[in-house]
Amino acid sequence: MKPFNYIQANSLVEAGAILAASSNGAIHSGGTDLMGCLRDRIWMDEVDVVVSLSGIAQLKYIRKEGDAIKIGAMTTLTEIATSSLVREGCLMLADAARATASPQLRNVGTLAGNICQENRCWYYRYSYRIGGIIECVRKGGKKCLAVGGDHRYHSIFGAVKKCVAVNPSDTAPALVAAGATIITTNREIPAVEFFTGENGKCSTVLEAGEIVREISVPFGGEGTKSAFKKVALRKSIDFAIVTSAASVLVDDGVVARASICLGGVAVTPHPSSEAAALLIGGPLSDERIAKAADAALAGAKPLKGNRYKVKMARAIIADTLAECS
Amino acid sequence: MANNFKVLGKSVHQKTALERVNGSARYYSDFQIPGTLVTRFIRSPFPKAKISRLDTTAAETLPGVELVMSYKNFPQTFRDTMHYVGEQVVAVVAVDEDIAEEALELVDVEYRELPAVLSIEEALAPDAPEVFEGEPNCHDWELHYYLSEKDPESGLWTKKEHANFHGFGDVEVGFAESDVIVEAKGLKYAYTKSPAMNPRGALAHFNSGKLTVYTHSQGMHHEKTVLAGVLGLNVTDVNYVCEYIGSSFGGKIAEPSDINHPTHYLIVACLASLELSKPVRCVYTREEEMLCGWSRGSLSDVKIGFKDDGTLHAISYDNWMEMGSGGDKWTIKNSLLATGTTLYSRNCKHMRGKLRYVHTNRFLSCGWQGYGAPEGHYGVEVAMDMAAEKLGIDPIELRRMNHMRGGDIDAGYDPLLYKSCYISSSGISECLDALEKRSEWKSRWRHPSEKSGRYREGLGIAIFCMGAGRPGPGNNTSAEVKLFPDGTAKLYSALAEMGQGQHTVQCQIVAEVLGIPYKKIGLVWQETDSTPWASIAASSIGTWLQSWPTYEAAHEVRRQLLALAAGVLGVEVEKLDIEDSVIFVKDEPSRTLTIGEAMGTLGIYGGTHELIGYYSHEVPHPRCLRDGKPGQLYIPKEKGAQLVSLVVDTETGMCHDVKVINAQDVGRALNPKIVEGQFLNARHGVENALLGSDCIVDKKSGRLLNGNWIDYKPTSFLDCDIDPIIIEKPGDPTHPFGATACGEGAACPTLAAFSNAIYNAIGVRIKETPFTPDKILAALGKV
Repeated sequence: MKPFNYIQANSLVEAGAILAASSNGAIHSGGTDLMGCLRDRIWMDEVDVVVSLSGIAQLKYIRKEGDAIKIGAMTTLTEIATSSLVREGCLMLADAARATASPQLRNVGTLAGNICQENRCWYYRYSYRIGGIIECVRKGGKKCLAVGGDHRYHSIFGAVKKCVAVNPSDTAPALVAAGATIITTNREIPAVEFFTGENGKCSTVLEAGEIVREISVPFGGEGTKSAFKKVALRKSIDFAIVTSAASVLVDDGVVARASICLGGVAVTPHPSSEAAALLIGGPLSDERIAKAADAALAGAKPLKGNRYKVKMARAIIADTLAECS
Repeated sequence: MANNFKVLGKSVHQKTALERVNGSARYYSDFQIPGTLVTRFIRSPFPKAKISRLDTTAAETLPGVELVMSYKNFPQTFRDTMHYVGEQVVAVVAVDEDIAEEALELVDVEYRELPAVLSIEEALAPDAPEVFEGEPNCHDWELHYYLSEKDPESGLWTKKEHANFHGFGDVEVGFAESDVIVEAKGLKYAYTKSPAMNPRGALAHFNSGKLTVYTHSQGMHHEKTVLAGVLGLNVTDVNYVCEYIGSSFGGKIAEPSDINHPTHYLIVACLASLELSKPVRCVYTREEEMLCGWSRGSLSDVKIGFKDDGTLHAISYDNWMEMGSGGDKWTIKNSLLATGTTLYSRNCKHMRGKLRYVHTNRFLSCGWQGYGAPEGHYGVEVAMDMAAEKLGIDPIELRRMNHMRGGDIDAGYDPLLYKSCYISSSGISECLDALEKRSEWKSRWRHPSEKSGRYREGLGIAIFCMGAGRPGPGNNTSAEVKLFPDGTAKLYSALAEMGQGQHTVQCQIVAEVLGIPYKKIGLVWQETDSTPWASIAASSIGTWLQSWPTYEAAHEVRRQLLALAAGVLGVEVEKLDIEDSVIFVKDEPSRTLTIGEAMGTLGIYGGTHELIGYYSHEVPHPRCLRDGKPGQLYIPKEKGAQLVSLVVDTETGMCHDVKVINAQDVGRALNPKIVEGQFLNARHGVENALLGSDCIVDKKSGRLLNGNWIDYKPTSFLDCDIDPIIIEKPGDPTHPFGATACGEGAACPTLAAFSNAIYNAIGVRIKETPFTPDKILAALGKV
């Protein structure tokens, strides 16, 4: 690990100023993944400053404002998983937070950190200590080594900038399905637009020095039901092979509103408005759920070694929707 | 005393439990010596390469760097040819980590890449590149023996000669005589790791001509002796300290004399400390541990012939064990345990076991928990399940008909000095009965053809035996017991405690023999300087090996004490007994003495201050011999049966509601809680079956892709629901109290039981472990 300056900021303004003044600063939120990234030197540019937000007490809250649940960036995953407000107004987010990592990691890991985390591609994350880094496409290599190598956990919806690493966040698909808004120091970004494969590091649209301040989640009103499912090999401390989040409003036996988002299957969380549209206007029946699940995977382009993920994703979307009935 | 134990059979608190839970236990990293230097490595980026250029000058001159080690100055540990990604190229010893890492970047090294083989299949291919130049990749096991000429009186084999396979009879004749033959080919046991929490490491301190090594060890005395020889030191000038291991699962034996053995942390720390006369620490990171720890993996073919009624008649077993680029070939011997040499010795008339070890350009394999036995069980117990279906016999019943019984002949490798020996006890029938009942097998088990729908339940069974006695050179062990006038006693024993509870059980034995409370027994185990020789705790032999010397040493003290008491009381020794620390006349219980009174202690001026008993174990103990006859040996085994139940989700390929029931005959459970804890070793089978345990290597670069505990997944508590059933069948002659082993056994049958359960659910056999959802969906034809 290269030496770096560690500064605990007292405000977001101060944190932003420190980042702006650094050549390559990193933000320390919960810190559960940051140290691993630094220790393994997965970033080509050496980090010179780490700015900690842990001293900014004002960033830790969950409260209802109008029709929205407002969650401060430094709110921990445990706080979200156990919040009665979140469970009442957006169960899929609470369950996604609960499905993340382990109790100890959830006690320090934050929601903002969870949606800004690095991907888990084992070529990209390979530790430099054992024979040096692997030059994947994100590290100046000509091609994505997972495509021709072992990609059992990689994207089934194609590459972005040749890279097929998936977004690993469990809460991200829940936020996208909920229609949440990410509020940063500069602007408000709909969750569905927050994630990108275009910017390299951490796969968000955040610009240098921009910091997530708050996540605003619409409070699901009466008749709205949501659910979250995760498939992972290990029951604790494991990243998902596939996740699925769905929210459905049934009015008088008829689906009035629906949203579906898959996680772990693409470079960004993968919502399917086509699938959601198929549900609207009729009952949430097994037959209509099956059609929606098919539609959500219709555009899948799996690689040779991860075709099983298509089957798995289809099954858990259907399960998630069924749980919303 | 035999059936009226005061201390044995009770789940007393473990001797070192408090230290382990309150954090005061000292692991090797807790030993801090001012001025300790640290070590960092450059490791090979290529699976096979020759160093074409190496210049360490710049690193050597960096302030704070004390030593740079490479093949140029330490050829006994470093080589100029690399055999796997991660092999040590250069070690830097410096005053702190930052300087050591900075120095690594100053080393100028270039490689010439060479062709490599990255799997057993590649290594076995014709014209495959050689892992070690001039040496074939695949070797036949050198200790195959053909056994013949059975003695009609003893039933033992009397002739043992080298052969190109291990066994007896004529397997071709055996198959010709069989009515039903099953074959299971290409069963692959993935390359898996012993997931010990504490990575390998050592702190070596050479000072005033004496070397002290703080590390982890399964056999301090053995390692110390070999290490002293390698370093050219007197054994008396080396002290080996291991207070707590930090878990091992059989994967932490060090062999400092062998460059191909994953012991480099130890030898690097010691060589550097000797060179510099300063304390040097060499500790692996988790990523290094994943490469430099012990692995296992193999490929096997099994063919079994039966009579129409299900009587097993002949077995042919082929095993190709992956050893990586070095490792420990002895592991392979244990795969035979599951075959007709031992587990199915009852009816097997013709046995042919062909063992081979195969080098690849992967990191070293040394076997671990079960040491080859889980690989053997995986092949044989899958084939037995296939046979049950073909014969139309219930899988439990088929095993019941054929498993080994006490007194059957063990013709495996284990009896190194013997041609064959007697299996001391079995109890597998009782274990099968218990599983059948607990799982409601008779009402729940259905043929896969009767199952449909998305969720399908499967039940799978496998039986097992694991070597638990190893008579032969070097397996002697000893114990010393001291009794003090205040009624306390101390056991001096270096047999390693690695979570298996041996320290506690040995103290229970001392308490039982001396008639004093368990809490009054202290223990000295921490270092070689203050303990008598103990052999390596491996092959689940701790109970078999250590109990005799502990028992005999305690008895020696008891004899001395009662002799003193007899003098004081003026009665014959035979009339005395001890209970709850009180010596009394059996016929006149009111006539008593305290231990202090018997020892007659008068402060510093007189009396006896300590009574000392010592016993060195000449294996085998005479009571392990049949009617005391030399050459007619009873040898214990771990033995039992295991059942896995699960539900396969045929849409996602995931297994749910996974439950393992382990029933094992332990003869006598000296500490039932510890025994139950040992049964939880089935957890490694769970991770190797369902959690994707496989060292996944990139096929182009040879890099280990999942070399951490996120991508390689040891079980969490949530993953394994293991139900332990203790069976106690008294009478095993190989232990003073009739206990037999319990350690690695529960890890042996699990993969086969999972394979059988998944087959029972979906009707398709998956040949390669782990049984991950991609394979299950593929088996179902859904991908």
